[in-house]
This record gives sequence, structure tokens and C-alpha cells, in this order.
Amino acid sequence: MPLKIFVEDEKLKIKIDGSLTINEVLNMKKELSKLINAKNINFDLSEIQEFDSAGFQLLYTFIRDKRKEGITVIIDGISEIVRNFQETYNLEL
Amino acid sequence: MTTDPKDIFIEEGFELLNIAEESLLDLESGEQTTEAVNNLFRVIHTFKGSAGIVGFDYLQSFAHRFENFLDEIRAERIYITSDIISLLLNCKDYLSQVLNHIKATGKDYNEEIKQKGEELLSYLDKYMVCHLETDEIHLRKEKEPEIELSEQVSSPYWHISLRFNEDFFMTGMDPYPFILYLTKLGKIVSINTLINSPSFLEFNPEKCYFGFEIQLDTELDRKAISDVFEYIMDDCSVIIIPPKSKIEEYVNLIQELPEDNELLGQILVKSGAITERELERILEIQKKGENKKIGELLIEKEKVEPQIIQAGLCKQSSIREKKALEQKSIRVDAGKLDKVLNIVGELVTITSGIMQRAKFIGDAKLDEFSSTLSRLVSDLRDHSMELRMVPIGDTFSKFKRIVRDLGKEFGKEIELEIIGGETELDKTFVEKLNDPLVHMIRNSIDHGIEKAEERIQAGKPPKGKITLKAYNESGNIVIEVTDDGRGLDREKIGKKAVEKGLITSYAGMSDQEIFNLLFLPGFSTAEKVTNISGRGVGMDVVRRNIEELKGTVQIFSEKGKFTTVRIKLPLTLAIIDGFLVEVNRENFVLPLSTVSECIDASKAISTDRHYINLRGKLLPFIDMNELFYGKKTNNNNANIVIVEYGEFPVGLVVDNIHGEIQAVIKSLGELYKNVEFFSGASILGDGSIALIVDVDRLIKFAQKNCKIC
Amino acid sequence: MEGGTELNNTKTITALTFTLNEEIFALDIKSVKEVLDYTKITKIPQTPDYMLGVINLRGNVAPVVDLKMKFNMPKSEITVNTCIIIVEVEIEGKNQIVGILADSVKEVFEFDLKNIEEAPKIGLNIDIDFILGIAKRDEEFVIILDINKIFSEKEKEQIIGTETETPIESISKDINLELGE
Repeated sequence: MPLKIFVEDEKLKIKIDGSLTINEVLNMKKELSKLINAKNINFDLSEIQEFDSAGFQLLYTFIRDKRKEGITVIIDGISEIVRNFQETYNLEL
Repeated sequence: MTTDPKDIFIEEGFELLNIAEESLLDLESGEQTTEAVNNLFRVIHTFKGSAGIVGFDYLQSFAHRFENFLDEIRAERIYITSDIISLLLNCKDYLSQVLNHIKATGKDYNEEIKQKGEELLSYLDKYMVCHLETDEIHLRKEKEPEIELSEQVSSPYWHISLRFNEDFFMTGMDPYPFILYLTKLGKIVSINTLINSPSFLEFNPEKCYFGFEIQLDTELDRKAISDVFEYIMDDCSVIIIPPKSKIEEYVNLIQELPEDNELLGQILVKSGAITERELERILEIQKKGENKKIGELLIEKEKVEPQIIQAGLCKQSSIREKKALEQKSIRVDAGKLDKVLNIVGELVTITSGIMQRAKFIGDAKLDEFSSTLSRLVSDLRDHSMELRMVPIGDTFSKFKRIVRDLGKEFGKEIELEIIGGETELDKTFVEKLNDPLVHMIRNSIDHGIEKAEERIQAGKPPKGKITLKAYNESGNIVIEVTDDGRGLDREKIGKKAVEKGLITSYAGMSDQEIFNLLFLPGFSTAEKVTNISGRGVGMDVVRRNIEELKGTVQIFSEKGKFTTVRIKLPLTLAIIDGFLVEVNRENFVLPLSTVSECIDASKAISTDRHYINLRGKLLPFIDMNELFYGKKTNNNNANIVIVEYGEFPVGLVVDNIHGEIQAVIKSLGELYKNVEFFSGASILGDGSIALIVDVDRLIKFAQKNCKIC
Repeated sequence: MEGGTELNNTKTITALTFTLNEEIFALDIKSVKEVLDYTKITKIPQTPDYMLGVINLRGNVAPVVDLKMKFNMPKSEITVNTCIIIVEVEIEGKNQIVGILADSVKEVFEFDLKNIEEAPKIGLNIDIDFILGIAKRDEEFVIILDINKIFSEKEKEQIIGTETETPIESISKDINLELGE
């Protein structure tokens, strides 16, 4: 699972490459669970090629909870397939 | 007579509204509340359906909203108060008003009617609004509290509510393609995606927490939409709520289904309100022992609109009722009945001709045949007369409303008692009795029954009582209207009559004579004129109406205790037992009920006066030859037929008497409509015509022509 | 042709011709139901003279009128040729069967509208309202009647309004004396 996590300009940047589907969500959840202390999170979703509702649900739940905690979550980039999901579900990440 | 569905609808509509009114009044009196509400609902529902069938859309839509309101009552979401009953009565009245409008114009609305309808609906809505949200949500509370129900109820779009089972992803499926597919069926007007996942830490990313609320604009039917989810039916819950128009469509469809199926589920499937599969599922649940009715389960599990279930249930019960009723009675066009009666009438006539002829010929065998024939025909006559007979109870029940409304208006509490509602009388009578009865009841409420305080002072119960009573009495039907009010005041009536110049003095008049003054035109005892009675058109109109029916009317009263108006009517209008007499070689029929005896007329012929001494009493008489043909009777065989005129006897001098006959009454037609003293004609056995004398009018005519009375 | 609106719609009018005192009249065939031989008419006492009474028309009662009296024509004897023409007229919106006494019935004839003229305002005893038009046939004048007008409301009121003589004044006085006591 190609997940890149790095800090840039004091912001936690998360870049997901390739695939985020039901097959990856369990591991992805483990990885994301580690990011407890971040104050600002930026997502780069522009490289996601494979995506499904489970992936969408994972991102949605994570971002929802972080924002609830008062953490700023920004989506820097978004791939076409993710955009399609957003539009079809009428739900922004 | 008519077979125009619109006319049938109007007729049936009025009947339904009468039942509705009865139910409302039952409700008010607290009698059999549930039964009454159900009745009311059914009736308005049927009304709505019929209105739709004959294409009165406006009427139908009003009835529809009326029905919805009743449904709320039925579901005990609106509680019945007297305000609500008044409102419902108003709605019912409004529907009759619309029916009258249709009758007059053929259209079910105009501006005025629409305006009034809107007003009533807005009242209904006031009660509805406060209940709508709570109960609708209550109905669907389990999974989707987010749905904006009030909005959805009136939505023009399909609403699809999807909830996926948690293991949905595990089975290798994804909601996404299903949602995408919906966009191919129509336009997704709105979609609300719900991800009800727990907090991220507790969150199992392999479980599916998806849910959708979708509004879809499509021409497709329920089945087509439902088919999208065909293969995932077991892995998710799908609720499909049709657009508002569709609901109405289903309701209409259900009502119009050909009536053969008594199963609710089948009725609903046929209309397309639910799919076969949905029904199967519900039946499965029911089999598993959920102790609920299909209707309830459908509302609960499949979110089928209660309205649709209601329509189905109504359809079901109306099918059952119809099936039950079909065995008991058939509806016959009154015109057909009249035709039969006409033929029977002719048969009666010709039979009496045969009887006479047989007697003349004197053949024993022929005599036997003809008397058997005569007996059969007379049976046939009696039975066919019965066909026209209807119980008076329905008419009586209508007055509950008038008593209630007027009682309220006058601030008097009044109970209406009905006795002998099962008494049957000719349908024509029933129709024509309505106005006189209304008059009499109004009089009783307005003038008769005292206010509560006054009653208590008089030692009576505070609640007044009006009794409507009907019974048979020696070939007549008697109808009495009695109130336990203050009774008639002979002094007051007498003075008033003198004041009005109707009489010069009332001293020495009997009570009966004084009460009869009330029947004179222009008499009104009400001290102040109310808008109900007391306009001087009261009892004289009643009397005229009753006389048109060949009946009589009398008043009995005791001051401070009661007033009774008694109407006496013949059993039927079409055939009377008559007494045949001859004047100037023409035949005339006197109603047998008026004839008391016949005496020799020689004494009368030999005098120039117009009265004779009969057993020590004066008997005034009318020479029929003189009255009809302007020449005195000059015939040694002449007779005096003594007839009853009110309370005193009057003699009629005739040339000859032929005895009793059964006279079939034939109208003299429009040209002779205003003929003074003949109520019709009858055709005798030999084909000749005898005029039927209206004795009361004959005597009145004799009086009027000297301008004394 | 302004004589009657009904005439404007068709080119011809089919009518039954009959006589009253040698004069020829005609009735639109559409209103004629049948023609009967003269039968006994039962007079209804205290009604105007021209209302002859009622007859038994196959078990129903039909009134018969004498148009001669209505048209101020002299009375004539009943002969073998005397007939009763049964017509259907509209009285107060209701269709009513009425018999018309005719001295004789002649034939059914089709009149060309061109040959029908408006009734002259003078020279006839008959109210011109009753006349649809006058046609000429074999050098004779035929008066085409408007049967509905004859039984119109206005006319009927006249019938009903007729106050009859009261030869019974004294009787009634006696009765009322009795009542008063």
C-alpha cells in the first residue's frame, strides 16, 4: 500500500498512491490511527487510481473525526475517480 | 329515468352524505365512536372514489383531503372535539352543496365553491399540521430520522431510502454502481449520503456504514426501481416511496380495480403499489409468526403509505359489503318501477271490466276464473305497491342534524326521539314530506321548546325533547311530530287571529278550531320574527304540502305540556279505494276514506235551502249538478253522499251511486294542472273516464266562490 | 323569410293538413303522434269551453282542445270525418300529449319554404303568434300553425285565469253559517 506520510512547512502531509479499496482499508486504518498528534493534515489524493466505497468511507470517517477534534484537514489534490465518488455521493471529503 | 353515471353519482352521493351525517351525529353523542369513525371514513372514501370515476376532479380532491383528515382521526392522531365535529359537518354540507351545484350546472366547481373549499381545507390543515410531523416520523423512526417527512409527503419525486447491511463490502459488493445505475433510470434530484460510521478508533473499515436518501425523478414504476436492487435485496433495506401523484394514482387504481379479489395483498400488487416480491417478503414475515396484519406489516416494514393501505382495506371491505349486499337487494331504476306500476294499474282496471262482464254473462266457470284473476291482480297490486315503499327512518334521521344545529343556535338543548322509523311509505311521500317536516321541527324548536331555565321553572327536565313517530293506522300512515314544550296558547292564537283580521271573535271556538287557525295563510304567532320560522309562511305551507299528498294534518296541544302535529297519509298515491258516483251522466270518484254514508236526496231536492235536517242536526250540502253544470239536480233517484270535511259532515247531491271501486289515479296533465277540485282521473273497466274528486278542495271551492271564509 | 326561426333551418317543412270550418291548417309533422277517430270526450267541469275535456288514450288520460273556439271560429257539428290529432307539445318544459279536434284530416304535404309567407298582420281572427306562416297550395291558403306557441305560458295563464260563474253562492253561505256556530 503506497502511503507516504511526511512533514512539510510544519504540516502533516499524507499522500496516497494507487489503490484504496476494501483490500487496503484495514491496513490504511492502522496507519492512519498512528497520526494522533498532528495539528494540520493535508491530503493528497491525486494519485489514487483504484477506489471504492470502502475507501471513501475510511477517508470520510477519518477526516470527519479529525475535524471534530479541531484539526484542520485540507485536501490538496484529488484524482478523477475520487472526484466521481464525491460527486455521485454528493459528499465532500 | 336516468342511467347517466353522473346522475347516479349525485343520487348515491346524497345518500352517502346522509350516512356520513348520521355517523357524525353518532360521534357527537359518543355512540359507538370507533364504528362511527370507520363508517364515516368508508363513506367519504367511497364518495371520493365515485367522484373520481365520473370525473369530478375538484370534488374528488376535496373529498380526498377530507378523507385524509378522517384517517388521522381514525388513527387517533386527532382527537374529536365538538369543534372538529362542527368542522366535519361543515365539510359534509359543503360536499352536498357541491353536489347541488353539479345537479344545477353539471360542473363541480366555480370560483365561489373553490374559495369556500379552500377555506374549509385550511381549517382542516390547521389540525393536520400539528400532527403530521410527529406521527409520520413515528411511523418511520427506526432507521432514518433524517428524512424531511413533511416535505417528502408532498414530494413530486420517488423517494428511495437505502440502508446497507454491515457486511455488504465483505460480500464483494459496493453501493456505488447501484447509485450510478439509478442515474440511468432518471434524474437524481437530490442525494443525501449517510455514513454512520462510529468514531475512527472503533471503526471497522471493512464494514459498510452507508446509507442513502435519494429523490429520483423518473417515469418508471415501482417495480422498475425496485428491480435495480433485486440482487441485493437480502443485503440491504430498500424503501421506495412513490411520489405524491403516484400515491393518488395507486389509491385511485385500487378503487377502480375490477372487483373480484378479496385479498389485501393482491389488491395492492394489482394496483402496483407494492411488488409481488415485497408482498412475498411480508407474507414470509407474517408466516414467521409476527402477529400483525398484512396492512400493518406493509406500513411498518415496506413503508407503504398508510393511505394506500387504507384504500386497499376499503376496497376490500367494499368488495365484501357489495358481495353481501348483492345477495340481499338490487338497485332498481325508479322509472322502471313506475312502468311496472302503470301496467299493474291498467291490469287492475281491465280486471274489474272482466269481472263486470263475467257477472253480466253469468257463466259459472267464467265467474270463477274472473274472481281468481281479480284476487291475483289485487295481490300483484299490493306487492308492486310495496316495491315503492321505503322506510321513513332515513328521513327521520336527517332531522337529527337540524335539531342539533337549531338547538345550538337557539341555545336550547334538545333530544330527538325517533319511533317507528321502520314504517314504510311511498317513496314519493318521503320526498315530499321533507319540507313540511322541516317546518314543523323548526316550529317546535323555535316556538315550542323553552329555554332550559324556563323548563326547570316549569318542573320539566332542562333538556327538551322532540319525538318523530310513524305508524300504520287502518290503511293510512300517520306521522307525528311532538315536542314537550310550552304547548299552544289559545288566547294568544285567538288574539292574533283577530288582530290579523282572520276572525272577528274567538269566543266559543273549540281548542281544535283555534289550533286550526294556525293553518291559515299569513298566520304567525312568533312574537319576534326569527330567521328560522315566524315569517308567516309556516303551517299553511305544511298543510298545502300534505294536502297535495291527499293527506290531512291536525294539531293537538296542551298548554305547558306538549304540541303534536299529526299528519295522516294514504298508503300510496297511485291507487285509491274510491266510491263511484254519477252526476249529469258523467262518472266521478270520491275517495272512499272521505265517504261516511249515503242517504236519499229527495228532501234536499225539494228544498231551496242548502241544508237539511239529518237526525236532528243540520247537514249542509252541495248539489254537484249545480256546482259542476250550473243546473239543479232533478232526479228522483238522487242520493246524498255524506263526506267528512275536517270535523263536520257535508252532503254531496249526486244523480246516482255505483259503489266502491279501486281507482288507478292518472294525472290530468299539465294543461289541467290548476284544475280546482279534481286530483286526477281514473279509467273505468269499460274504458270510460271518471274524474277523481278532491273533496276538501271541492268544499273549499264552494266556500271560496261566495267569498266568505 | 323572417316569419319564424324554425323555418330558416330547412328548405322544406313537412306538415299534416287538416280543416277547421273549411279553412285549411297545417301542423309540422314532427309534433304529430297519431290521428284518432272521434271518441267520447269527458268534460272537466268548470274549465274553459275550448278545453273539451279528456279522452282515454290507451290507458292514459289525454286532454283535447278545440282550436276553433280558441281561434274565434264558429262551432260545427261532429261528423264521421271529425278526428282527434294527437300532438306532443312542450308545456313549461315538460312534454305533454294533447289532442286537437279537427273537422277532417287531409294529407301530409311538403311545403317549400319559398312558398311560405309571413302571416298578414290583419285580416285573420287568429293571433298571429300562433302562425308559423301561410302557404299556398292548389289556389288555397294553408295556415301553418306553431303548436308550441298555442300552448305557451301566456296562453295557459289565460285558461287558468278564467274565473267561472258561481251558481253556488247560497250553498256556501249556509255552510259557513254552520261553521260559525
